[in-house]
Amino acid sequence: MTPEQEIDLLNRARGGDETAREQLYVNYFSESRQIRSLLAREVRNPSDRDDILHDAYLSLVRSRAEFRGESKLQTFVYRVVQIAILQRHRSARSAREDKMVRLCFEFDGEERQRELAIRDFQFEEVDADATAEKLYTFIPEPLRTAFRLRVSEELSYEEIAALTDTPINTVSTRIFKARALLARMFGAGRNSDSTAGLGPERKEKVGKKDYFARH
Amino acid sequence: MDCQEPSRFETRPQSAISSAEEVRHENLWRLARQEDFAEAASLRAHLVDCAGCRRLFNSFQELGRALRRTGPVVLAVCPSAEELADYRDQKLVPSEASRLSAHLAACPPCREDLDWLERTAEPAAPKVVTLSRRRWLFAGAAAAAVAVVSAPAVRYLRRPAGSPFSDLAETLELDRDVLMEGSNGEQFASILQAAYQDFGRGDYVSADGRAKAVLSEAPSNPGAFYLLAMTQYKRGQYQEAARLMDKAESIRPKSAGRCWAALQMALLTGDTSVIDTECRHLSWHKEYAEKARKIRDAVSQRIASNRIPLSVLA
Repeated sequence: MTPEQEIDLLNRARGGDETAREQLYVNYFSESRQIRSLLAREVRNPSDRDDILHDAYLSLVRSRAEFRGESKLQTFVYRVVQIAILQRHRSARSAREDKMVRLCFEFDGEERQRELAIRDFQFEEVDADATAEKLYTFIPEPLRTAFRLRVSEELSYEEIAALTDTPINTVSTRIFKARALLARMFGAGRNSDSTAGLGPERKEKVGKKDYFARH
Repeated sequence: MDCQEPSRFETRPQSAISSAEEVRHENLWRLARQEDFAEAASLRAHLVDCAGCRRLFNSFQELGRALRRTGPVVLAVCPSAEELADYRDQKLVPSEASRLSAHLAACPPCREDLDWLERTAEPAAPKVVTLSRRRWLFAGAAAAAVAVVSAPAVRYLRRPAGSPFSDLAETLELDRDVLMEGSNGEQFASILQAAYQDFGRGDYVSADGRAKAVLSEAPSNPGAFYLLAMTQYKRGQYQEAARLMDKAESIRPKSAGRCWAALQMALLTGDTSVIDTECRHLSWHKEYAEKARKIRDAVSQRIASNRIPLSVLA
């Protein structure tokens, strides 16, 4: 493929063209020898490999990062997969850490802008309360108050609704959004809905699920 | 919804929670906090098969732990994996690169991550040499006739493992004088000195971090490029090392120490054009002139006698 064809393929996949998406996934992800070899070397659990591959694929399709054809699309994809593996390694390592809270920011768009404004890289020993306070600062108001009342004060949704004079459904949504935002710092995927990617049937069709079992 | 069985998270009439995804999050959060509720047992069983829910559950567990901890903990606020990759590829703006360098110097987990990115970087695809054997012999003879090694037709494309001249290369060590050469006096001397010590301890990630910090302030500091080239060399990434050495040379050519390093790297990549150039440069420097002459003769002789492993031409 020429660089122009690769740019076109990626743009069509990002635009929702199913044929382009399938071609992108099969040729550049699941059937790529380099990608397979990287996953086989660096990810022990075969079922994790499938998930990482799919995460990386979704990340590429949704990303606004421009591919200008200066390198090969395969190189671009390799980097996306590498980043997806590293994200997974970081989560696994954090889960094993007993004395450390590690916050890794995997945001984009508006969230990233907000996060950049308040973020300062850090590596220091602090009191655990300071860690919780730090986490709360990453949640914008009014989500923060709702989440804080729920977690720190252990109030029910009804009590929070009464206290903040807010409809109960709104309270629920605020808590949901705040928690999802923080969970992303601990490895929850930002690609948590798969509508922009290959749905379960589609995955089956391109053989994603059992790909590594066959190879 | 990133779940294999989304139907299990339906909303209930009169419930405060208005979407299935919110139900899913709420239930997984409660499970992560070890609350007892009606669906807990079946949800726990569901986690075994559903990677999406398992991941969300794990992150909720971590989040819950972080919010409930007591006593002293190390708090690490770290860049994203993508930012680290951008840093590695020198794609960050200088101010961001500088912030990240400072963080890397303090944060061992990030240094490990950066090292992992380096180690698993995409292997360079070997470029195909298209000369046929007959044409190669002709090119070899032509090169011998003019007694130079830089004829474009016989330029070996960079193949670290297959370089026919790698046995001629001497082992390089980071030379402190070369590192400090032309490094704008005292301004960056202390950073480069610290990087020199990192390098000596085998901590190439920290050394890289300091070199990048220097480059973010002084993008044409040859010492910093030399240092980056040397860390790549020590990792066995000879092509990348040679590329960085080339940058150092283009900024301030004719430094004997850097020419020598560039020559050794070129012997490992098999780049005859660079071998020829550096040998010529080194002929003007007493301490290297004789060794450079011998190398050039040996390379010329190999090309002339076609004693190049055929695997290199494949």
